[in-house]
Amino acid sequence: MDEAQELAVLRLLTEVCGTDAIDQERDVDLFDAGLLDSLGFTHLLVGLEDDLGIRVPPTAVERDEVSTVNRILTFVSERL
Amino acid sequence: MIEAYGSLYWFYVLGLGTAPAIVLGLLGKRLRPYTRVATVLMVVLMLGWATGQLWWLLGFLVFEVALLKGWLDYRVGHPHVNPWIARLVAAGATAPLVAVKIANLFPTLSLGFLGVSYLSFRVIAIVLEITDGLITALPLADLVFFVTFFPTLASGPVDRMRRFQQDADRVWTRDEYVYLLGRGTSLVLLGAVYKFVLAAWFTTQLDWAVGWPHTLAYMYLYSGRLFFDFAGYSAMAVGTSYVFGIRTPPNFRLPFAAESIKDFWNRWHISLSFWFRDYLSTRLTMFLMRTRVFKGHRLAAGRTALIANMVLMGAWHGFTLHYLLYGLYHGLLLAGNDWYERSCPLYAHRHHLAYRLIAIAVTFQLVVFGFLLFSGHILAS
Repeated sequence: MDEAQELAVLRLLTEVCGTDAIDQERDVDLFDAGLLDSLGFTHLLVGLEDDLGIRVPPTAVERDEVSTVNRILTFVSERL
Repeated sequence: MIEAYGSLYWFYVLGLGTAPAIVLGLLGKRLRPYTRVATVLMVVLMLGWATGQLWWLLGFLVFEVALLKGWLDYRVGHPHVNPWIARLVAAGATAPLVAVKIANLFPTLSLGFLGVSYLSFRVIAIVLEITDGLITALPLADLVFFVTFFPTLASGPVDRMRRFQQDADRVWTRDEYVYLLGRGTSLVLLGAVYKFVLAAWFTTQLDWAVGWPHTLAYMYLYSGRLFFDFAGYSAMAVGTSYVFGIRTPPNFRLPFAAESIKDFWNRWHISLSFWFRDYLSTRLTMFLMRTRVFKGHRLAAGRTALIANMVLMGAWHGFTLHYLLYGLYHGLLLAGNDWYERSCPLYAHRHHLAYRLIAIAVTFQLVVFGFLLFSGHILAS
Protein backbone atom coordinates (compact mmCIF):
# COMPACT_ATOMS: atom_id res chain seq x y z
CA MET A 1 0.00 0.00 0.00
CA ASP A 2 1.48 3.37 -0.97
CA GLU A 3 1.23 6.60 0.99
CA ALA A 4 -1.63 8.00 -1.07
CA GLN A 5 -3.70 4.87 -0.43
CA GLU A 6 -2.97 4.99 3.29
CA LEU A 7 -4.05 8.63 3.36
CA ALA A 8 -7.23 7.73 1.51
CA VAL A 9 -8.06 5.10 4.15
CA LEU A 10 -7.34 7.52 7.01
CA ARG A 11 -9.47 10.21 5.35
CA LEU A 12 -12.31 7.73 4.98
CA LEU A 13 -12.00 6.68 8.65
CA THR A 14 -12.03 10.31 9.79
CA GLU A 15 -15.26 10.77 7.87
CA VAL A 16 -16.77 7.51 9.18
CA CYS A 17 -15.84 8.03 12.85
CA GLY A 18 -16.50 11.75 12.83
CA THR A 19 -13.14 12.61 14.45
CA ASP A 20 -9.53 12.98 13.26
CA ALA A 21 -8.24 11.72 16.64
CA ILE A 22 -8.19 8.18 15.19
CA ASP A 23 -4.85 8.90 13.49
CA GLN A 24 -3.09 9.24 16.88
CA GLU A 25 -4.17 6.01 18.53
CA ARG A 26 -4.10 3.35 15.91
CA ASP A 27 -4.61 0.35 18.20
CA VAL A 28 -7.70 1.57 20.03
CA ASP A 29 -10.74 -0.67 19.54
CA LEU A 30 -13.05 1.58 17.55
CA PHE A 31 -16.19 -0.42 18.40
CA ASP A 32 -15.44 -0.31 22.15
CA ALA A 33 -14.62 3.39 21.96
CA GLY A 34 -18.02 4.08 20.42
CA LEU A 35 -16.40 5.45 17.24
CA LEU A 36 -17.57 2.66 14.95
CA ASP A 37 -20.99 0.95 14.88
CA SER A 38 -23.02 -0.99 12.30
CA LEU A 39 -23.77 2.19 10.39
CA GLY A 40 -20.12 3.26 10.46
CA PHE A 41 -19.09 -0.24 9.42
CA THR A 42 -21.40 -0.05 6.39
CA HIS A 43 -20.12 3.43 5.60
CA LEU A 44 -16.59 1.98 5.70
CA LEU A 45 -17.49 -0.84 3.26
CA VAL A 46 -19.06 1.60 0.79
CA GLY A 47 -16.06 3.96 1.14
CA LEU A 48 -13.57 1.15 0.53
CA GLU A 49 -15.36 0.22 -2.67
CA ASP A 50 -15.89 3.77 -3.94
CA ASP A 51 -12.50 5.23 -2.95
CA LEU A 52 -10.17 2.25 -3.28
CA GLY A 53 -12.04 -0.19 -5.48
CA ILE A 54 -12.09 -2.96 -2.87
CA ARG A 55 -15.37 -4.86 -2.87
CA VAL A 56 -16.18 -6.71 0.37
CA PRO A 57 -19.57 -8.37 0.97
CA PRO A 58 -20.84 -7.46 4.48
CA THR A 59 -20.83 -11.03 5.81
CA ALA A 60 -17.36 -11.80 4.40
CA VAL A 61 -15.69 -9.72 7.09
CA GLU A 62 -15.63 -10.32 10.84
CA ARG A 63 -15.81 -7.21 12.99
CA ASP A 64 -12.56 -8.24 14.72
CA GLU A 65 -10.74 -7.85 11.41
CA VAL A 66 -11.58 -4.14 11.20
CA SER A 67 -11.79 -3.11 14.87
CA THR A 68 -8.70 -0.84 15.00
CA VAL A 69 -7.07 1.60 12.56
CA ASN A 70 -4.04 -0.67 12.16
CA ARG A 71 -6.23 -3.72 11.52
CA ILE A 72 -8.18 -1.79 8.90
CA LEU A 73 -4.91 -0.77 7.19
CA THR A 74 -3.75 -4.41 7.18
CA PHE A 75 -7.18 -5.55 5.92
CA VAL A 76 -7.01 -3.05 3.07
CA SER A 77 -3.40 -3.78 2.09
CA GLU A 78 -4.18 -7.51 1.86
CA ARG A 79 -6.93 -6.78 -0.65
CA LEU A 80 -5.38 -4.09 -2.83
CA MET B 1 -48.06 -32.49 18.21
CA ILE B 2 -46.09 -31.29 21.24
CA GLU B 3 -44.90 -27.79 21.99
CA ALA B 4 -41.11 -27.39 22.02
CA TYR B 5 -39.81 -26.81 25.56
CA GLY B 6 -43.43 -26.31 26.63
CA SER B 7 -44.41 -29.30 28.76
CA LEU B 8 -43.15 -32.15 30.94
CA TYR B 9 -43.99 -34.55 28.11
CA TRP B 10 -41.61 -32.64 25.85
CA PHE B 11 -38.79 -32.93 28.38
CA TYR B 12 -39.50 -36.63 28.78
CA VAL B 13 -39.20 -37.15 25.02
CA LEU B 14 -36.17 -34.83 24.86
CA GLY B 15 -34.49 -36.78 27.65
CA LEU B 16 -34.97 -40.05 25.74
CA GLY B 17 -33.81 -38.38 22.52
CA THR B 18 -30.65 -36.85 23.97
CA ALA B 19 -29.47 -39.89 25.96
CA PRO B 20 -27.81 -41.60 22.95
CA ALA B 21 -26.16 -38.27 21.96
CA ILE B 22 -24.70 -37.92 25.46
CA VAL B 23 -23.35 -41.49 25.37
CA LEU B 24 -21.79 -40.95 21.92
CA GLY B 25 -20.35 -37.59 22.99
CA LEU B 26 -18.79 -39.01 26.14
CA LEU B 27 -17.23 -41.79 24.07
CA GLY B 28 -15.73 -39.13 21.76
CA LYS B 29 -17.71 -40.39 18.74
CA ARG B 30 -19.15 -38.41 15.85
CA LEU B 31 -22.57 -37.00 16.80
CA ARG B 32 -24.01 -36.00 13.44
CA PRO B 33 -25.40 -39.33 12.16
CA TYR B 34 -27.43 -39.76 15.33
CA THR B 35 -28.46 -36.09 15.46
CA ARG B 36 -29.92 -36.46 11.96
CA VAL B 37 -32.09 -39.37 13.08
CA ALA B 38 -33.14 -37.50 16.24
CA THR B 39 -34.00 -34.42 14.17
CA VAL B 40 -36.34 -36.38 11.87
CA LEU B 41 -38.12 -38.01 14.85
CA MET B 42 -38.40 -34.80 16.85
CA VAL B 43 -39.65 -32.76 13.88
CA VAL B 44 -42.39 -35.35 13.26
CA LEU B 45 -43.37 -35.21 16.96
CA MET B 46 -43.34 -31.40 17.05
CA LEU B 47 -45.44 -30.91 13.92
CA GLY B 48 -47.68 -33.92 14.49
CA TRP B 49 -49.07 -36.45 12.00
CA ALA B 50 -52.62 -35.18 11.92
CA THR B 51 -52.15 -31.45 11.45
CA GLY B 52 -50.97 -31.30 7.84
CA GLN B 53 -47.99 -29.23 8.93
CA LEU B 54 -45.55 -31.95 7.94
CA TRP B 55 -46.73 -31.67 4.33
CA TRP B 56 -46.29 -27.92 4.37
CA LEU B 57 -42.76 -28.36 5.75
CA LEU B 58 -41.95 -30.94 3.08
CA GLY B 59 -43.29 -28.69 0.32
CA PHE B 60 -41.32 -25.76 1.71
CA LEU B 61 -38.10 -27.80 1.78
CA VAL B 62 -38.52 -29.10 -1.77
CA PHE B 63 -39.17 -25.58 -3.06
CA GLU B 64 -36.30 -23.90 -1.18
CA VAL B 65 -33.77 -26.65 -1.84
CA ALA B 66 -34.53 -26.53 -5.57
CA LEU B 67 -34.17 -22.74 -5.53
CA LEU B 68 -30.88 -22.82 -3.61
CA LYS B 69 -29.38 -25.59 -5.72
CA GLY B 70 -30.44 -23.86 -8.93
CA TRP B 71 -29.07 -20.53 -7.75
CA LEU B 72 -25.74 -22.03 -6.71
CA ASP B 73 -25.33 -23.76 -10.10
CA TYR B 74 -26.13 -20.52 -11.91
CA ARG B 75 -23.85 -18.46 -9.66
CA VAL B 76 -20.87 -20.81 -10.11
CA GLY B 77 -21.23 -20.46 -13.88
CA HIS B 78 -21.61 -16.65 -13.78
CA PRO B 79 -18.86 -14.73 -11.94
CA HIS B 80 -20.78 -11.49 -12.47
CA VAL B 81 -24.49 -11.71 -11.80
CA ASN B 82 -27.07 -9.07 -12.57
CA PRO B 83 -28.09 -7.65 -9.17
CA TRP B 84 -31.76 -7.74 -10.19
CA ILE B 85 -31.60 -11.48 -10.84
CA ALA B 86 -30.05 -11.91 -7.37
CA ARG B 87 -32.85 -9.83 -5.82
CA LEU B 88 -35.47 -11.86 -7.68
CA VAL B 89 -34.04 -15.10 -6.27
CA ALA B 90 -33.98 -13.61 -2.74
CA ALA B 91 -37.61 -12.56 -3.20
CA GLY B 92 -38.45 -16.10 -4.36
CA ALA B 93 -36.90 -17.56 -1.19
CA THR B 94 -38.94 -15.10 0.90
CA ALA B 95 -42.23 -15.78 -0.92
CA PRO B 96 -43.41 -18.72 1.25
CA LEU B 97 -42.94 -16.65 4.42
CA VAL B 98 -44.82 -13.68 2.94
CA ALA B 99 -47.64 -16.01 1.82
CA VAL B 100 -47.94 -17.41 5.36
CA LYS B 101 -47.97 -13.91 6.89
CA ILE B 102 -50.72 -12.81 4.51
CA ALA B 103 -52.72 -15.99 5.19
CA ASN B 104 -52.45 -15.24 8.93
CA LEU B 105 -54.61 -12.15 8.37
CA PHE B 106 -57.52 -14.46 7.49
CA PRO B 107 -58.55 -16.69 10.40
CA THR B 108 -60.16 -19.26 8.12
CA LEU B 109 -56.97 -19.94 6.16
CA SER B 110 -54.57 -22.33 7.79
CA LEU B 111 -51.31 -22.16 5.94
CA GLY B 112 -47.77 -22.77 7.06
CA PHE B 113 -46.10 -24.69 9.81
CA LEU B 114 -44.25 -24.21 13.06
CA GLY B 115 -40.96 -22.38 12.54
CA VAL B 116 -41.58 -21.22 8.96
CA SER B 117 -40.10 -17.81 9.84
CA TYR B 118 -36.91 -19.14 11.31
CA LEU B 119 -36.40 -21.65 8.52
CA SER B 120 -36.91 -18.87 5.99
CA PHE B 121 -34.30 -16.67 7.68
CA ARG B 122 -31.74 -19.46 7.37
CA VAL B 123 -32.57 -20.02 3.71
CA ILE B 124 -32.54 -16.32 2.74
CA ALA B 125 -29.11 -15.90 4.35
CA ILE B 126 -27.80 -18.78 2.23
CA VAL B 127 -29.20 -17.16 -0.95
CA LEU B 128 -27.34 -13.92 -0.17
CA GLU B 129 -24.09 -15.69 0.72
CA ILE B 130 -24.26 -17.65 -2.55
CA THR B 131 -24.70 -14.32 -4.34
CA ASP B 132 -21.66 -12.93 -2.52
CA GLY B 133 -19.58 -15.98 -3.46
CA LEU B 134 -19.16 -17.01 0.19
CA ILE B 135 -20.99 -20.33 -0.15
CA THR B 136 -19.68 -22.37 -3.08
CA ALA B 137 -20.89 -25.88 -2.23
CA LEU B 138 -24.17 -27.06 -0.78
CA PRO B 139 -24.44 -30.83 -0.15
CA LEU B 140 -28.13 -31.74 0.11
CA ALA B 141 -27.84 -33.63 3.42
CA ASP B 142 -25.92 -30.78 5.09
CA LEU B 143 -28.40 -28.18 3.85
CA VAL B 144 -31.50 -30.02 5.08
CA PHE B 145 -29.82 -30.83 8.40
CA PHE B 146 -28.94 -27.19 8.99
CA VAL B 147 -32.36 -25.85 8.03
CA THR B 148 -34.36 -28.35 10.10
CA PHE B 149 -31.99 -28.84 13.12
CA PHE B 150 -34.70 -29.57 15.70
CA PRO B 151 -33.51 -27.78 18.89
CA THR B 152 -33.86 -24.38 17.20
CA LEU B 153 -36.69 -25.21 14.77
CA ALA B 154 -39.61 -23.58 16.56
CA SER B 155 -38.30 -20.08 17.34
CA GLY B 156 -34.58 -19.90 16.72
CA PRO B 157 -31.94 -18.72 17.54
CA VAL B 158 -31.11 -18.20 13.86
CA ASP B 159 -27.72 -19.81 13.24
CA ARG B 160 -25.66 -19.35 10.06
CA MET B 161 -24.79 -22.19 7.74
CA ARG B 162 -21.03 -21.60 7.50
CA ARG B 163 -20.74 -21.40 11.31
CA PHE B 164 -23.13 -24.33 11.92
CA GLN B 165 -21.26 -26.49 9.41
CA GLN B 166 -17.95 -26.10 11.27
CA ASP B 167 -19.52 -27.50 14.45
CA ALA B 168 -21.46 -30.20 12.58
CA ASP B 169 -18.28 -31.43 10.86
CA ARG B 170 -16.35 -31.73 14.11
CA VAL B 171 -15.78 -34.81 16.20
CA TRP B 172 -15.47 -33.49 19.75
CA THR B 173 -12.97 -35.12 22.09
CA ARG B 174 -14.31 -36.48 25.37
CA ASP B 175 -13.02 -33.46 27.31
CA GLU B 176 -14.49 -30.99 24.85
CA TYR B 177 -17.80 -32.78 24.97
CA VAL B 178 -17.87 -32.77 28.78
CA TYR B 179 -17.61 -28.98 28.61
CA LEU B 180 -20.39 -28.75 25.98
CA LEU B 181 -22.62 -31.06 28.01
CA GLY B 182 -22.07 -29.08 31.21
CA ARG B 183 -22.76 -25.77 29.53
CA GLY B 184 -25.75 -27.14 27.65
CA THR B 185 -27.30 -28.66 30.76
CA SER B 186 -26.91 -25.50 32.82
CA LEU B 187 -28.46 -23.42 30.03
CA VAL B 188 -31.46 -25.77 29.86
CA LEU B 189 -31.90 -25.49 33.65
CA LEU B 190 -31.54 -21.69 33.60
CA GLY B 191 -34.03 -21.47 30.74
CA ALA B 192 -36.49 -23.69 32.59
CA VAL B 193 -36.35 -21.40 35.65
CA TYR B 194 -36.86 -18.35 33.41
CA LYS B 195 -39.82 -19.85 31.57
CA PHE B 196 -41.61 -22.00 34.14
CA VAL B 197 -40.96 -19.96 37.29
CA LEU B 198 -40.41 -16.31 36.37
CA ALA B 199 -42.43 -15.97 33.15
CA ALA B 200 -45.21 -18.02 34.77
CA TRP B 201 -45.27 -15.63 37.73
CA PHE B 202 -45.51 -12.57 35.48
CA THR B 203 -48.33 -14.26 33.57
CA THR B 204 -50.38 -14.77 36.74
CA GLN B 205 -49.84 -11.12 37.66
CA LEU B 206 -51.03 -9.94 34.23
CA ASP B 207 -54.54 -11.18 35.04
CA TRP B 208 -55.41 -8.28 37.27
CA ALA B 209 -53.72 -5.60 35.13
CA VAL B 210 -56.64 -5.14 32.75
CA GLY B 211 -58.20 -1.90 31.60
CA TRP B 212 -56.81 1.61 31.22
CA PRO B 213 -56.01 2.44 34.87
CA HIS B 214 -53.55 -0.44 35.00
CA THR B 215 -51.79 0.28 31.69
CA LEU B 216 -48.53 1.23 33.41
CA ALA B 217 -48.48 -1.94 35.50
CA TYR B 218 -49.42 -3.96 32.41
CA MET B 219 -46.45 -2.48 30.54
CA TYR B 220 -43.87 -3.63 33.11
CA LEU B 221 -45.50 -7.01 33.77
CA TYR B 222 -45.89 -7.76 30.06
CA SER B 223 -42.24 -6.82 29.46
CA GLY B 224 -41.16 -9.14 32.26
CA ARG B 225 -43.17 -12.01 30.85
CA LEU B 226 -41.97 -11.39 27.29
CA PHE B 227 -38.32 -11.40 28.36
CA PHE B 228 -38.38 -14.42 30.67
CA ASP B 229 -40.56 -16.46 28.33
CA PHE B 230 -38.45 -15.90 25.22
CA ALA B 231 -35.05 -15.76 26.94
CA GLY B 232 -36.06 -18.96 28.75
CA TYR B 233 -37.02 -20.71 25.52
CA SER B 234 -33.83 -19.46 23.84
CA ALA B 235 -31.55 -20.66 26.65
CA MET B 236 -33.17 -24.11 26.49
CA ALA B 237 -32.82 -24.22 22.69
CA VAL B 238 -29.15 -23.17 22.85
CA GLY B 239 -28.49 -25.60 25.71
CA THR B 240 -30.06 -28.51 23.81
CA SER B 241 -27.97 -27.63 20.73
CA TYR B 242 -24.80 -27.83 22.86
CA VAL B 243 -25.72 -31.33 23.99
CA PHE B 244 -25.85 -32.27 20.29
CA GLY B 245 -22.45 -30.66 19.72
CA ILE B 246 -23.71 -27.52 17.98
CA ARG B 247 -22.77 -24.22 19.63
CA THR B 248 -25.83 -22.21 18.59
CA PRO B 249 -25.19 -18.50 19.28
CA PRO B 250 -27.01 -16.91 22.24
CA ASN B 251 -30.12 -14.77 21.82
CA PHE B 252 -29.97 -12.54 24.91
CA ARG B 253 -27.20 -10.78 26.83
CA LEU B 254 -28.66 -8.79 29.77
CA PRO B 255 -30.86 -6.61 27.52
CA PHE B 256 -32.16 -4.46 30.37
CA ALA B 257 -28.61 -3.32 31.17
CA ALA B 258 -28.38 -1.65 27.74
CA GLU B 259 -27.04 1.89 27.80
CA SER B 260 -28.68 3.00 24.54
CA ILE B 261 -31.30 1.72 22.16
CA LYS B 262 -28.50 0.69 19.79
CA ASP B 263 -26.89 -1.24 22.64
CA PHE B 264 -30.29 -2.83 23.38
CA TRP B 265 -30.48 -4.37 19.88
CA ASN B 266 -27.04 -5.90 20.41
CA ARG B 267 -28.46 -7.66 23.48
CA TRP B 268 -32.12 -8.49 22.67
CA HIS B 269 -33.08 -11.34 20.30
CA ILE B 270 -29.49 -11.05 19.09
CA SER B 271 -29.56 -13.68 16.36
CA LEU B 272 -32.56 -12.02 14.70
CA SER B 273 -31.30 -8.49 15.19
CA PHE B 274 -27.91 -9.41 13.68
CA TRP B 275 -29.65 -11.22 10.85
CA PHE B 276 -31.54 -8.04 9.99
CA ARG B 277 -28.32 -6.04 10.37
CA ASP B 278 -26.18 -8.24 8.11
CA TYR B 279 -28.65 -9.35 5.47
CA LEU B 280 -30.99 -6.37 5.27
CA SER B 281 -29.91 -3.13 6.96
CA THR B 282 -26.28 -3.11 5.82
CA ARG B 283 -27.19 -4.00 2.26
CA LEU B 284 -30.03 -1.50 2.11
CA THR B 285 -27.70 1.20 3.47
CA MET B 286 -25.07 0.38 0.84
CA PHE B 287 -27.75 0.46 -1.86
CA LEU B 288 -29.19 3.80 -0.66
CA MET B 289 -25.74 5.42 -0.28
CA ARG B 290 -25.22 4.84 -3.99
CA THR B 291 -28.55 6.21 -5.19
CA ARG B 292 -28.73 9.74 -6.55
CA VAL B 293 -31.02 10.97 -3.78
CA PHE B 294 -28.52 10.12 -1.04
CA LYS B 295 -25.28 10.87 -2.94
CA GLY B 296 -23.11 12.81 -0.48
CA HIS B 297 -25.63 12.19 2.33
CA ARG B 298 -24.31 8.93 3.69
CA LEU B 299 -25.60 9.56 7.21
CA ALA B 300 -29.11 10.23 5.97
CA ALA B 301 -28.95 7.05 3.87
CA GLY B 302 -27.92 5.06 6.95
CA ARG B 303 -30.70 6.47 9.12
CA THR B 304 -33.33 5.91 6.43
CA ALA B 305 -32.17 2.31 6.13
CA LEU B 306 -32.40 1.89 9.92
CA ILE B 307 -36.02 3.02 9.92
CA ALA B 308 -36.93 0.84 6.94
CA ASN B 309 -35.12 -2.09 8.57
CA MET B 310 -37.07 -1.82 11.81
CA VAL B 311 -40.44 -1.34 10.07
CA LEU B 312 -39.73 -4.55 8.15
CA MET B 313 -38.80 -6.30 11.38
CA GLY B 314 -42.13 -5.12 12.81
CA ALA B 315 -43.93 -6.35 9.70
CA TRP B 316 -42.29 -9.74 10.09
CA HIS B 317 -44.06 -10.18 13.44
CA GLY B 318 -47.33 -9.79 11.54
CA PHE B 319 -48.98 -7.40 9.08
CA THR B 320 -50.98 -5.63 11.77
CA LEU B 321 -50.96 -2.02 12.92
CA HIS B 322 -49.39 -2.50 16.34
CA TYR B 323 -46.45 -4.48 14.99
CA LEU B 324 -45.81 -1.87 12.28
CA LEU B 325 -46.00 0.89 14.92
CA TYR B 326 -43.57 -1.05 17.09
CA GLY B 327 -41.11 -1.28 14.19
CA LEU B 328 -41.49 2.38 13.26
CA TYR B 329 -41.01 3.38 16.91
CA HIS B 330 -37.71 1.49 17.17
CA GLY B 331 -36.57 2.74 13.75
CA LEU B 332 -37.12 6.35 14.80
CA LEU B 333 -35.39 5.71 18.14
CA LEU B 334 -32.35 4.19 16.41
CA ALA B 335 -32.13 7.05 13.88
CA GLY B 336 -32.53 9.58 16.71
CA ASN B 337 -29.86 7.78 18.73
CA ASP B 338 -27.47 7.95 15.78
CA TRP B 339 -28.05 11.69 15.47
CA TYR B 340 -27.59 12.09 19.25
CA GLU B 341 -24.30 10.16 19.35
CA ARG B 342 -22.83 12.14 16.48
CA SER B 343 -24.09 15.62 17.35
CA CYS B 344 -24.82 16.01 21.05
CA PRO B 345 -21.94 17.16 23.32
CA LEU B 346 -23.56 15.31 26.25
CA TYR B 347 -22.51 12.02 24.62
CA ALA B 348 -18.85 12.82 25.47
CA HIS B 349 -19.68 11.99 29.13
CA ARG B 350 -20.83 8.46 28.27
CA HIS B 351 -18.14 6.76 30.38
CA HIS B 352 -19.13 8.48 33.63
CA LEU B 353 -21.00 6.29 36.10
CA ALA B 354 -23.87 8.77 36.60
CA TYR B 355 -24.37 9.11 32.84
CA ARG B 356 -24.40 5.33 32.42
CA LEU B 357 -26.94 4.77 35.20
CA ILE B 358 -29.26 7.42 33.80
CA ALA B 359 -28.76 6.03 30.28
CA ILE B 360 -29.72 2.53 31.47
CA ALA B 361 -32.86 3.86 33.18
CA VAL B 362 -33.93 5.94 30.16
CA THR B 363 -33.25 3.08 27.73
CA PHE B 364 -35.26 0.70 29.91
CA GLN B 365 -38.29 3.02 29.85
CA LEU B 366 -38.07 3.45 26.08
CA VAL B 367 -37.82 -0.32 25.65
CA VAL B 368 -40.78 -1.24 27.87
CA PHE B 369 -42.92 1.39 26.16
CA GLY B 370 -41.99 -0.33 22.88
CA PHE B 371 -43.21 -3.64 24.34
CA LEU B 372 -46.49 -1.99 25.29
CA LEU B 373 -46.93 -1.01 21.63
CA PHE B 374 -45.90 -4.53 20.64
CA SER B 375 -48.47 -6.12 22.96
CA GLY B 376 -51.33 -4.44 21.09
CA HIS B 377 -52.79 -3.59 24.52
CA ILE B 378 -53.21 0.14 23.80
CA LEU B 379 -54.96 -0.34 20.47
CA ALA B 380 -57.14 -3.10 21.90
CA SER B 381 -58.44 -1.02 24.80
